[in-house]
Amino acid sequence: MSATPSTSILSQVDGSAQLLLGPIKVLASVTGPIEAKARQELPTLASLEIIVRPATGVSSTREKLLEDKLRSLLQSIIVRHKYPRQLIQVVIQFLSSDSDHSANAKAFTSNELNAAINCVYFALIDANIALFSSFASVSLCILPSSDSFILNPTIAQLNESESHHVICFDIKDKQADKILLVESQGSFSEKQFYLAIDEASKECETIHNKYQRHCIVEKIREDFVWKF
Amino acid sequence: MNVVLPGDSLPIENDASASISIGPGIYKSPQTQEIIPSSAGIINIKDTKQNTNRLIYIDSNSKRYIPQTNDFVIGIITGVFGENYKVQLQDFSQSVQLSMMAFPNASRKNRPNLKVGQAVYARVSQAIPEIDVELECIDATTGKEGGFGLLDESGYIFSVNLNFSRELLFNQNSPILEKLASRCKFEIAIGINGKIWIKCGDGIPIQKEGSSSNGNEEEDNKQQSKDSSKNYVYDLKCTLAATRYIQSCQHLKSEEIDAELKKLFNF
Amino acid sequence: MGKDIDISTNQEHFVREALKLGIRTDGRSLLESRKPIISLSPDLYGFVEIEWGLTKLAVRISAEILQPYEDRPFEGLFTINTEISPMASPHFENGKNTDDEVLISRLIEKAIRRSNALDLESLCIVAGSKVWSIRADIHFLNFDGGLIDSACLGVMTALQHFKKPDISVNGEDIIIHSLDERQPVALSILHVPICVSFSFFNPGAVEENIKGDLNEEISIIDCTQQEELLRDGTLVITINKNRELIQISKSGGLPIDATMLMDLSSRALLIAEELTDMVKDLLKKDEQERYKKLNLKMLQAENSR
Repeated sequence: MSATPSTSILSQVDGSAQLLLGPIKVLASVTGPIEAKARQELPTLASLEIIVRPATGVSSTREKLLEDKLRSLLQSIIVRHKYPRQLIQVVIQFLSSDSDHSANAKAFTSNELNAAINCVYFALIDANIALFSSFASVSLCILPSSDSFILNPTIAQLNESESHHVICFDIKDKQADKILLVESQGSFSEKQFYLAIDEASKECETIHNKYQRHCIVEKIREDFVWKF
Repeated sequence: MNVVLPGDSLPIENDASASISIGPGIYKSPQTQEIIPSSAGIINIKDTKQNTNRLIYIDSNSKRYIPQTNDFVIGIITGVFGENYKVQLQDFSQSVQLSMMAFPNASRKNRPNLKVGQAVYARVSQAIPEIDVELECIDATTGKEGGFGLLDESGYIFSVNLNFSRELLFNQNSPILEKLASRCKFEIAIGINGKIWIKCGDGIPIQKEGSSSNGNEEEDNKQQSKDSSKNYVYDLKCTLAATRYIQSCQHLKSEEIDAELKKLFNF
Repeated sequence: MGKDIDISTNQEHFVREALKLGIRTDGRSLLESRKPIISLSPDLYGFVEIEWGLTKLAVRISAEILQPYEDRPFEGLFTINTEISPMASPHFENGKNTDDEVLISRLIEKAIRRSNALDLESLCIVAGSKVWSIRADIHFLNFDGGLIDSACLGVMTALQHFKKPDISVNGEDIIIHSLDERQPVALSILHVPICVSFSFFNPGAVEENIKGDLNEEISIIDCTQQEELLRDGTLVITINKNRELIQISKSGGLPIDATMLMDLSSRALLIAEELTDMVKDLLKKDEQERYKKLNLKMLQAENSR
């Protein structure tokens, strides 16, 4: 994973992060807990407003789909009982994506979903929103008539592949624990699927231990720079 | 520096003998009674002398303030409804209530006279997430003002990160304000909600409202203002320099502070 | 309506008193503009990021082939999208246009589209049936004043940076050549408009505003967000390097007299010249970099043969 995250890059929102993942450049911002509108307000929970914006053009059903996937993920990872009647606003802005390089990229959302999940993690930590655990996600595809995987595939590889998956794990004590989200498309055997999950859990641990932890320790050192 | 992330387990043994008090950044699951870290930051574990009580909290930075009882905050009056003021502690946050009766010597007849836009220094008297947060501008033990109340327009208000405002307010050994004091005379009110009110020297003069001008008076005023204007320009520049100094201290190592102070107070 | 930002009277009082003395809270002088940092994407065409003080935005240009409007069969299409998301500031709501947003999009529209900065006729492929449609998406990432100035600069830089794929026409059939196949073509830009925003503060009481004979308004260039919240009036001057005044938009504040307007316009011209040259230099450097890379690629290709 050639991820280079940077946090606290925007001043008007409470938390922000930017992630470069291959051809994808994505920004995430988190604001909250803030005042919810009457129609958004939930009496015992924080409500989530999730907005995904494409790099070019107006947002379409594609972005709505991404919003929905993110919502189901974030609902289970944010300690929403801690902020009753409040609103947490999450904005994902893509600045460049696969579709800038190949015309048929619009058919796939997996790489974008993967980038958005990994980016929003840093933004949530930056905004100091209470989380049940850490999380990381992987995008991978299985090539025809083989059991080998390609991690972070390009659009060309996705095109050739038999099936592709986005798998997101929650991380407890530096180890992948439970599956938070699986998005699979194509045809695959049960065995392949279990292998894919196995592969993903290892990769999620690597992402967490190699990138996330390192980046957050750096960020905290930066936040408390006057203390040391 | 001992950093934990959400999902890590807390570095504590689970013996039931010592009771545990949890602070910011720690969450106790109502179902399993398990204690987990819910934010990423520096973990602090403090035992009391008799080892009967243990305090755990995570120190982390954020920009969004969540009210807690007994916090000292700076709020801006945004409206009046009934016998309450509507107060904003931060942009876009849910507004909080400040009762007109929560002032020293206040009564139905003797109400405080605050206007929309003015700032107050207050204590959070009640913070329950499910209902509206309440403030008061009175020292509950003595019934006196106790430093709370209106922060007048002679001072300027600016924002800092929450972890930095806590440092300024609670760390007695912090050199930041001490060093500032070597440059100018100032009065400061630090809100834990990341807002700081500061006034250097005598601050910026406040024009009295409704001072109708007739010719003579204006002449007098001009004379007066000329005398004090030199001071006032200096105080204004000091206030601005102090503001920028405190704001930039957020991102400076302790050895860089002196140079910054020197640079900003060079006028 | 968007969510309100409340500002204390303390801040208002201080900012106004300081301005009377010619001091701004960020240490600039009254007529000093913030210096923008422009970054061009090294691999994509028409992708520009701008940092203007704390204000941040990204502009993406994209092109596709569409049918032209029936009443304008010879002209290509050009749209500018200025939707502001809550990422810039929670003040802006998604999908709901605030007044600020409408004002910004109209001013940008007037400055760039209606001043014919982009030659629309050169976008025509087959009259009446196929034209290029150029779309500029402005993504506001962080808001600290100066949205109009920075957005205009961003769009104009991105338009100059953008290259559309080459095409060959064979009757009604059009072949779009990929970037590897043929060198892409730059857009035809007729002139480069630059917006400069001035803001006015009335040092006296409100009554003076009505009387209007005592004109002591303080004018400053390139407000921050705090100053934008407090200002009494604004003036946007759009001008290009050829000394052509494209638009003057003034709302609120005292009546302005002619000499003042002339003075501010000539200041705007200076800024416009500076920014246009800066962008030109940047684009030139970018072009050279790309050329070098391309040469290297070709050399490598030859070697491998």
